[in-house]
Amino acid sequence: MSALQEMGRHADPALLVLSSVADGPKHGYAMTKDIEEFAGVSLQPATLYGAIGRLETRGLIVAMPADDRRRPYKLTGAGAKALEGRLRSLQSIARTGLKRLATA
Amino acid sequence: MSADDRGTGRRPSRVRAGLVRMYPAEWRKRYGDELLDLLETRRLTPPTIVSTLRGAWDAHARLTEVTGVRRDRARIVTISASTIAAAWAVFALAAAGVAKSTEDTPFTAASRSHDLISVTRGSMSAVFALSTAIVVMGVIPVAGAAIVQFVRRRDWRGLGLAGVPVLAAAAVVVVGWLAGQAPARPVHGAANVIVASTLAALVLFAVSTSLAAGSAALRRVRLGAWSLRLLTYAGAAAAATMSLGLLVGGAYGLAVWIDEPDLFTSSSGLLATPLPLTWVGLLVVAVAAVAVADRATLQLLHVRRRLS
Repeated sequence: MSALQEMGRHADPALLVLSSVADGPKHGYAMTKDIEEFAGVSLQPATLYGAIGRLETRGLIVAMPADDRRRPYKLTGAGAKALEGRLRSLQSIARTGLKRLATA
Repeated sequence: MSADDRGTGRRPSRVRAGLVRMYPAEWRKRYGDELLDLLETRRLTPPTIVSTLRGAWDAHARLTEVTGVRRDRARIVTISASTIAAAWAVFALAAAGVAKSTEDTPFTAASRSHDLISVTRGSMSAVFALSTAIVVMGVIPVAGAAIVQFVRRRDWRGLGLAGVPVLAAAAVVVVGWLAGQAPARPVHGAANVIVASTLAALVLFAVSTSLAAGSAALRRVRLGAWSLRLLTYAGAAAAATMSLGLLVGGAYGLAVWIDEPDLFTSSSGLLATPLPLTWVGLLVVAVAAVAVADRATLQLLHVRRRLS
């Protein structure tokens, strides 16, 4: 089981957070705005920080020096690997599902 | 990050700060400012409040998973013991409800006529008395040790915090005594319902305030190994007697149902509810209290070996 799948019901918010920081460091507020834009999901602050805590504990993201009360987080090597693995798995599921729908 | 990224810059609110304070101290130290900052950028809607409270519960229950911080053993013991004490207070409220709803003549007459009802009712009282004694024996020595430390260190704030549960218990006793002195009212009258509801709300407020103040006081003291052992064993024993009390209470309900089924159709429940509804409500409260206490006991037993 991958590091993301181990998070159970927290895996989806964690995947959104990893995707958000994949193109560079972001703090909590920037992540919520970014996730709203690319996924159409409005993450609650507590959900976001529940995911950030779990990702940081597992070494998938790392905190950078705080700017006032806002601390940016960046993807680690392990985080990039976990994100890529999960996205490839989802891509395979999506491809299979769409192919079967087309032939149904 | 541009200035636009700063959000709406809402004024810090006490409610938002209060919500963040629901998280464990270890979590707040790491993420508290960031969460408060993010909460200040949005309106405080019911889903946001519920989500934040769920997040706080999650952080308490899975602190290591969400922060990587391991609590020291003494802190786990004091938190678990405080949780059991709070669960016991709620359980006591349910037990008082059972006692109140079965104090009328039909129930006392049923106890005299049927051995099974009599034995289960007597066992229920005995188990609750034992549970109360265990809680008192666990709390008093530890509270005494904490008070001695506060006085020695001239920690008046700690002493004040330790005094809150004592004052709360005294207030509940005095108000309960005053309510008992009032002239008799019809059981299902509006006045009785208001008095009973107010008393129940007062007890719940006293329990939550005492728990918060008691936990804050315990965080300010360094409990010795014997205090931690006492809290562990008393907490586990209290939770065990609560579970036993639940079983015996269930047996009493079954005995009444078998021997005096007509009592179940009576309308003599609490707060103007029919008896079955009252008993279901009390059962739900008692089961929830026992479940919380048993979960805290598992944590106590988990750290017991490391303490010895």
